[in-house]
Amino acid sequence: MFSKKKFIQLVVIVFLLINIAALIAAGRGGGKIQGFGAFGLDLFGPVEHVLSKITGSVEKIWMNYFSLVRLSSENNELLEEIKQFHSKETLYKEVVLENERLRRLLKFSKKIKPEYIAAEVVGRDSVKWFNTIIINRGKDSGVDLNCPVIVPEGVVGQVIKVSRNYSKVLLITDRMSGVDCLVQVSRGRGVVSGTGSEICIFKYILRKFDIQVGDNVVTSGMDGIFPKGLRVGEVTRVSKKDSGIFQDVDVKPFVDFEKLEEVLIILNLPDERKDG
Amino acid sequence: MADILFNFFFLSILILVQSFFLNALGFYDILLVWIFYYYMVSEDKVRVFLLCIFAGYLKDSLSGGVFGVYLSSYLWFFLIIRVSSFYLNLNNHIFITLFGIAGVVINGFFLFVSNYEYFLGSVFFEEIFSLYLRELIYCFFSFLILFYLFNRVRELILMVKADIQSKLAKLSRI
Repeated sequence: MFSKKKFIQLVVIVFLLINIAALIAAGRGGGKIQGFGAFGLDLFGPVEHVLSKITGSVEKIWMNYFSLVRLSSENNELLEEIKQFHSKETLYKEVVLENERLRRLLKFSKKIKPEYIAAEVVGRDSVKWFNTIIINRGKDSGVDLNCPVIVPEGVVGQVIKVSRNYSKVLLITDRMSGVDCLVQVSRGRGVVSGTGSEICIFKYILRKFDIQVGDNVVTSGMDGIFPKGLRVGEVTRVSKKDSGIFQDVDVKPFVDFEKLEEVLIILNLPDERKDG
Repeated sequence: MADILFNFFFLSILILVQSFFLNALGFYDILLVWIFYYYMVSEDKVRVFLLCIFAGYLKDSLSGGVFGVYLSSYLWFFLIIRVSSFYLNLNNHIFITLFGIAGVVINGFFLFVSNYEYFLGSVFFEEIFSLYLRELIYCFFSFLILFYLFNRVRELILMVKADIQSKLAKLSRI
């Protein structure tokens, strides 16, 4: 019925269609093929770890040389900052104690203290279309899918793939990332989405909220992933169009993703996440 | 065995170079150059096929995208080179560049297919398209250069290997 050439062409087309269908299905499932992909992460993670350590060491030597040059002026600036922080800390302690007293008074549920685990960044995404990092903690350390990843400066992202000893973290700057957030002062709520660059966009924020450049953006705890009150970034641009119910807001994350070396993973579920 | 180990480390280094330096410039996937180059110099094409599977698996494991995108891209890229090699003489500057562009197109196609819902409705569609165009332009101007660079690296490695072997042979005679 078919010539040999036609048959081969048909087989190739069928295979291509199967391949496309499989990728579409995997994409719709969030690409979370755990077993197969996780094994690869465990297999190549150590190699990536060693090689990135070598690159990191060379980079560190280079950077240390430059940092020596401006060490003295930076030291003076930091001493000034410490003085300011001391006075702020006293104020902060007072507020925390007051908050605890009020919560007890109003019989609010007790907050679960987040349980953290530290991890080292061992690799970055090999593809420029995605912003992810690989960290050296996995299932064996208690890490699970969707665990929030943070640093003292603010939110880093969430775990999207876990193997026994390694995990892949989707950064908040990735185009596919979305974090439910609040503007700290005006309490306007929206979703901070990545753009693939160092600036994120604050979507779905109603124009009735008065948002100023320099306002801090924190997590709202409503997405069921990130606990409430984690620092995300600072508003860098606000624009209100003539029509429409939302305003355009740009947010610059507090975290410098280029310099990420160690991160903290939140393992247990705080009450906001459970409620969410 | 030596060949497998070499490919494992060389591919890992290429991925690292891509992750830390080339991605920031918006460069295309340089593993495509290595696959094409390896096809051209390798006598045993089954090895190239296995290299494609290995490289795809490695890349998919370390990327944030859908698992299988790079595995598919590299295998279809290999298939196209293989079929074309029956009809064309690939050792030609124009064809080398054209196959590079074909590789980038295949890569982009599978990447798009795996995330089509996201890409189509995305506010970044224009930005993604311009990034993709930049990849093609980079490929047009640099695929051939990288091809010859890899050739030089391989020649150097072979030279060092021959040197070591001759020294070992001398030592064993003593």
